[in-house]
Amino acid sequence: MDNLFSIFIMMALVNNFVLAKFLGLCPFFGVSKKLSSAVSMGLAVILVMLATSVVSWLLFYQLLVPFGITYMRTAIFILVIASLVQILEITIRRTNVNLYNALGIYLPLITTNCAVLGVTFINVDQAFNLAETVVSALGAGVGFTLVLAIMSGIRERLDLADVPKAFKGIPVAFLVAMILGIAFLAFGGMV
Amino acid sequence: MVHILKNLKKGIINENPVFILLLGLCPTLAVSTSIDNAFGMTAAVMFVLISANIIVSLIRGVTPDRVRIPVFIVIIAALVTIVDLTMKAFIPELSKSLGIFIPLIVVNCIILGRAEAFASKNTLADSVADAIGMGIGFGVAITIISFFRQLLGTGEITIFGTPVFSAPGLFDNPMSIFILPMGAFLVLGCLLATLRYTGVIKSG
Amino acid sequence: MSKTNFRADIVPILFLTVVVCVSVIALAYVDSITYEKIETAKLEAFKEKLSVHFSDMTDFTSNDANDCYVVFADNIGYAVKTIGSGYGGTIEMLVALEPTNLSSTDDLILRGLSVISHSETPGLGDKITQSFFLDQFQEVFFSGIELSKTGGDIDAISGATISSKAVINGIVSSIEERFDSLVELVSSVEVS
Repeated sequence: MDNLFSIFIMMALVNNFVLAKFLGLCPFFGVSKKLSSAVSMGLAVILVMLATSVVSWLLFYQLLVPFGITYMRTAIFILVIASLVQILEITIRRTNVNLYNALGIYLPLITTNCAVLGVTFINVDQAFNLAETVVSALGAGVGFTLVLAIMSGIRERLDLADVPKAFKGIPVAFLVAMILGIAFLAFGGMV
Repeated sequence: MVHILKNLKKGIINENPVFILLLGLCPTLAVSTSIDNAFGMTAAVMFVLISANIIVSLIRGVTPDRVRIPVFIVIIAALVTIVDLTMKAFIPELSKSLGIFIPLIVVNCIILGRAEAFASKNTLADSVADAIGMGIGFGVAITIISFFRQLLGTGEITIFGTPVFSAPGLFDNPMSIFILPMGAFLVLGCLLATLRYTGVIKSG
Repeated sequence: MSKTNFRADIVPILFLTVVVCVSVIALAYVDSITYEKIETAKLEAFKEKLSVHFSDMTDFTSNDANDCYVVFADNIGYAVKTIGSGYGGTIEMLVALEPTNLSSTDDLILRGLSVISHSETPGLGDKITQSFFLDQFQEVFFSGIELSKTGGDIDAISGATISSKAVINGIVSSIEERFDSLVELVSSVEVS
């Protein structure tokens, strides 16, 4: 992982969080029915990932490592996420009501999004420096949003198609995810 | 007594966390590459689920409403860290296999969901039954998925490392797609469709 | 009126603080009883990886950075930890080396390779841990560590070129980086 661009591509495409790493699946299947809600969720996730990655990275290296309490990282990271999501929600509600109405219910859901916690772990496991952490969070978020958007576009069409009754809804969504996953395998050749 | 059994049963069938409620998908799909992983993950999740439900139910009378989510999160995070450390110390192989999905149990919607929806509002006995039921339901789901993925993807089933069953044709030419991430989607999608088709769960 | 409001605000925070304190104490306790075991487990695992290449290994010593080793066994040798950037993340490996004259990296002969940790794709990239791939690194010249299609001695795993290349690049760059450290360690051992 020498340069920032390859980290971005790696996180967004090659090791796409949803399709390759299985992180962020609940919103993936729950939110992805309309393109607009998918994009809103995606943007919120990118914001949260960036903020929490930086804060948790700082806490890890400034607090946990010097005091030898790295085992606290699970607890600390999730608390950072929960707090930042709260702060973000309050801030958005006060500054931009339209945005709040668009993102509204999705924000609290982000706290339990494995992708957000997952990226904070990956950042310290791979020993990224601060710049790499920011890029990795950005890549992860963009990749997540990309897949969510693609999925919602497909599902909007699928809703109108003649799907066998047993498969209608979630099961066929899984099959679509599989096909998307195979397609994304191709990105492996990029890095 | 009757409603304790009812709580136990609902976690396995009617409200199976994976197949019906569609919760906790991330670890289910990621970790289901072998039966051993499935067992290990189930054990970890059950421990956290039962302990969390016990604690949350015990303090439900005194927990102020405003801070209940942060409180639940702290409790669950602590339990998960305990499981993580214990596994790293005593079963390092499994810990490595399950990777970041052990710490990720903390955001497993099943646990926070049950704590919030059930344990905080029900008696200790009911909460324990609910947790055990949900845990078993999760275990059943993830084991079934792992069974298919491991059998079709590697051609053999291993339990605790030793091969237990080997499918003659598949072993030499396994269908690798099943062991890859996208295989998980395939298996779960088909399983869900089958369950609906056979009427075990309702469509739509 | 302000008193009850204050109460209503402060009680939840106090409760949360108590819960946090109890959790922290519980965690610190568990950490203290598992810490030793975790470290020992890691050391044992490492020793096992090392002894695969050195029969009857009796002891080993490492440099301060813990990435170069001199191994004392029936056949003495050296080892270097190497890191490569794989498809799914960092690949950590252990390269066992013959006790050659260390005037330059060209003299190095690999005794074998083990993978310590990786995050490659199961079923594809994770084949780098299998013997058909790893055995290629036994008794090879350092200069031959390159993919066979570019003139080297190592055949890539079909379908996992990236992982294979990551292993190779990791070995080459890490050894070049740590070579001086290794030389220093070896000479300090020979002196004593």
